[in-house]
Amino acid sequence: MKLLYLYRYGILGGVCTQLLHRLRHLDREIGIEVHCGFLSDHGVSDMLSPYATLHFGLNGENTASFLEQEAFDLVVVIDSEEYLQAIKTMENRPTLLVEVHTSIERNLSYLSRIQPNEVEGFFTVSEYMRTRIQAHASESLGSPQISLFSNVLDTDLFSPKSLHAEGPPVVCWVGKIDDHKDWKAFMHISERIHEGQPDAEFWIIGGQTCSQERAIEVFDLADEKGIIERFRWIDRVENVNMPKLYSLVSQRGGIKLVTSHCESFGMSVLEALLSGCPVVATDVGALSEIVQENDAYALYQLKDFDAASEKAQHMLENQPRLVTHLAALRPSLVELYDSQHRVTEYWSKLLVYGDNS
Amino acid sequence: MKSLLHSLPFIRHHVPSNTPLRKAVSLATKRPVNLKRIEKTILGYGLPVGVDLVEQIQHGVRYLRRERFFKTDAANLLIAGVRAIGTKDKRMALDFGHVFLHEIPDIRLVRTMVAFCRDLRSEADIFAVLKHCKDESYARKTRNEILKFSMKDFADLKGPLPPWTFELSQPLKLSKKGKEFKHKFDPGDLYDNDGVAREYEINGQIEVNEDEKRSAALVYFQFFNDSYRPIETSKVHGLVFSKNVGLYSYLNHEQDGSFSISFQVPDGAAFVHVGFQTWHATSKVSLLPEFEIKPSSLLQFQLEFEKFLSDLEHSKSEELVFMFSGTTFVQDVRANRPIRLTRELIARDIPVIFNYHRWRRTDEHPEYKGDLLLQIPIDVTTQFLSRLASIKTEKRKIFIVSYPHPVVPKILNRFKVNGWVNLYDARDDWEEFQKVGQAKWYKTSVEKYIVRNCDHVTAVSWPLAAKLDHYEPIEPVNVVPNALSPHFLSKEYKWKGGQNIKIGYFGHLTDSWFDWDSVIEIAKQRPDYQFELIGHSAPENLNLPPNVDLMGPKTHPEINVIAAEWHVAIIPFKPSLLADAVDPIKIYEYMALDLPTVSFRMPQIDDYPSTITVDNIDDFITALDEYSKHRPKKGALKRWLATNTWGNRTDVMLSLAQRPQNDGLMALGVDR
Repeated sequence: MKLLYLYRYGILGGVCTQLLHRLRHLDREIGIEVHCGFLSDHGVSDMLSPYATLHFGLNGENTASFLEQEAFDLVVVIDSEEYLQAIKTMENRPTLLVEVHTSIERNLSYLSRIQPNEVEGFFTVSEYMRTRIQAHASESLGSPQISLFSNVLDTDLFSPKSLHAEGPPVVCWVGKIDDHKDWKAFMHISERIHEGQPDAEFWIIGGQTCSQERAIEVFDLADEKGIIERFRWIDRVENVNMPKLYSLVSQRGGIKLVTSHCESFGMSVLEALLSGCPVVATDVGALSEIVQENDAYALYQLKDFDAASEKAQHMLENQPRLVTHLAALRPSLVELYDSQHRVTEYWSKLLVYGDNS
Repeated sequence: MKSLLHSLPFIRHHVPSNTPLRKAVSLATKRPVNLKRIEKTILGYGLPVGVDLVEQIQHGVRYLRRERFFKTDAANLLIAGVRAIGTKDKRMALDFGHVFLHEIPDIRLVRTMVAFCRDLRSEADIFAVLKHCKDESYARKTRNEILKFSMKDFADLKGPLPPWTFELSQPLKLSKKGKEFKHKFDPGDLYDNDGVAREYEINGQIEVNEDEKRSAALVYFQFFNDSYRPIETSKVHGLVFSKNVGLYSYLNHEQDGSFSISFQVPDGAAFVHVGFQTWHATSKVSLLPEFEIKPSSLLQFQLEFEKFLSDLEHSKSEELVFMFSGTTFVQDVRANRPIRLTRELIARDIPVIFNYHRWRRTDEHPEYKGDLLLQIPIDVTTQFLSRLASIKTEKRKIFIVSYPHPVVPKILNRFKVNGWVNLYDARDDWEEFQKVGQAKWYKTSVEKYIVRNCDHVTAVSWPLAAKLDHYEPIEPVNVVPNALSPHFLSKEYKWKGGQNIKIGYFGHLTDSWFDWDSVIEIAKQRPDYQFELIGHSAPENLNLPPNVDLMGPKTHPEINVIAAEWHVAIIPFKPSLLADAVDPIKIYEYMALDLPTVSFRMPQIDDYPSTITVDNIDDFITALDEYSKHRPKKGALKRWLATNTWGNRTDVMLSLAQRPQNDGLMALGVDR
């Protein structure tokens, strides 16, 4: 079977990491020839080239002729409407699946423009996303076929690491400095935590591309909230070193705080939990699906800063016990999300469509 | 007054007897200047025009540059030297002129070199010389003449060509319709020595409402070959292509309206037309004159950076220092703290990357000479910070933040993650500076953050250290005062004194902190004392008593001569939080001159030898009376200064850098 994934952004992000997990654990004897197509290469070629034939420069104008030339059996389009539009124009269309990762509403609106018989079905990563697809899909699609396959990760990499570090407990926040991840909520909650835990430090991880003006806004708000002397910003940590970061936070008696307005899956929460770092997160999107709330994983309602602060402080006070709790929880998380264990399931779900073709 | 000053003995300069071409060097210091006579004197030595003569003139120019920095003496010798060499070999004269042209862009030198270029019929050389010309009118006129001549070949082109980029002489209001200019690329600049195509940049400034988006205006490009035929391409690195506009870039202007766009010149391009137009602007946008197209300085810095990294690997030093200073580039004349520390580090063969401030991107830049001192201006540093942070070396990497610029904090911990030890060296109370109209970039939140996030914090004075301790650094702030510049005191200096009491000061004279009212009152109450004030930025319209002499700026050697007759030195700064934080470098220099000091309140210097700090005018006068009668104990100041050197200060910094905080951040680096 000749399979093609089409995704606009050839970046080293979450989607491409999921492709990597699927491809590197693919049993080659099954006989699937995998190709991946992107508009441009922003580092993905180094990541995926050992496992698939890569094509760059694909856009709305040239994709149809490319597909006709290559004659794929199955095409999976990920979060990229222009490729769907291109395939619509083809006379001999391949079997087409749409994979949905984004949870941003405006980026889901294209689902409403998909007509019956244009796609065989959908793939997505959580029950929450299933409901979003259903909500956006055109009524004419009826009850579309939506398969679930959660994100997976390398649980050997995301495991507690031994580090030697000193310092007060850390409340760590990871993400881009934007409204969706809501860095300001992090500041508001940190202010409240600081009142009860004056020694705790507040760390932002990420935001390398944040503008100078926005960065100054961040420092000014930290000052206004009275936490500037407890604030650290590490604007770039390589993904491969995130387990060390979570381990460091954990060993310093800290936790991770999530203030996102929506998450289609919640990968960074899972990474933290597997690395032994307790998490307090907004109860949005799929965050309640990853694992049931427990002592080391607490959810709060979006914008309820008091509740978030209360839960965070409670965790900080009991942190060593929570780390032990996470150690006990880890085998079940590995079972659910380890890429090596789970990828076979993905391929068997996908091949159902392959057989149809 | 000027002629009177020149007749004074301390202005006359005696050139050492062993100086090559001594008579010519000496003539270069005389007024009125007679370039023809200097030229004849050089030729009169009878040396053949060649390497030896060039080296001797070069030696003389460097001597005058060092000893007579603020004067045009070095330029006089250089111009006469270039002309002397040019009588026999104009190409050699041009090569020699280029050695100094960027340091001494004297218009007489520029004109001389342009004349030689014309004689040699070398158009490219004229452009290279004009790049350094500060007389814009002359440069524009000369360029115009040459380019108009060279454009005769294209007289058969259909339609008129747009004006040259340098022909814009007043602000040009932009509209939706593009206003075009033409530029000719210098063929010598298109490729570097390794044949790599150079990046170019277009730099300039627009007048624009501060609320306007960075896409308020754009510039589009059309390239032409040397036959002035259009080059059809939609791919030019750095530019975007659209069917409507062609190759373009938004100006992406900064807050002050300045813009800089880098692009790669397509193969075969000899000319470019650039068109400016508004895009998302909702209000008036004007293009200011003096925008220019030139080889990208970023590429030059990148090449210098790579050379530095290569040299770094061959260095035996155990450390690498990134000195993030807010001062000018490292030079002989300025004596401030980051420059002094850097000089000390370089003297120890420790490689230094030195961030410096420049006012304009077109300002000259000290090229990297392979001496392990790489100097980068702030506008380039901001684009290099990421690469600097990720330098890979086995050496101990030390990032010294010498001023809390807003560009530092976001990336500070990336340095730590990449194995740098971060030190914040507070040399002034920047917050108080801002209150008197200086340091406009300062943000309290930024400094607080830097204090907390550096491994160690040092401050020039204990009051400043106490202030920064409130920002909760990981460890208490270390007091590391200033020190004496080893080059300040002339070897032949000897205190002379005199019968008339002279009170002296040198340094900044701004009324932001210099207490003019008190000084005038003190001078009035002591009419028998002569007050000699050296420095710049004194307010205009001062009504000074006759016993106050405002002497203007002086070089260190000149100060040595003048201060030898002083009895007491003063630091009359307005008592303020700003003054409280200071450890003035001048007090070390006063001590080197063997002078006692009277100062208004300044806690750091309270305990310094032969120093008295007072709170009011009466006490100041009493202290002056007292100190003018007694000389400091013989050798006492010298002994104290011997233990307060920049070497001592550097030892402290390097020692602190050996103890990074064990906060775990270094474990997050890629290779750790």
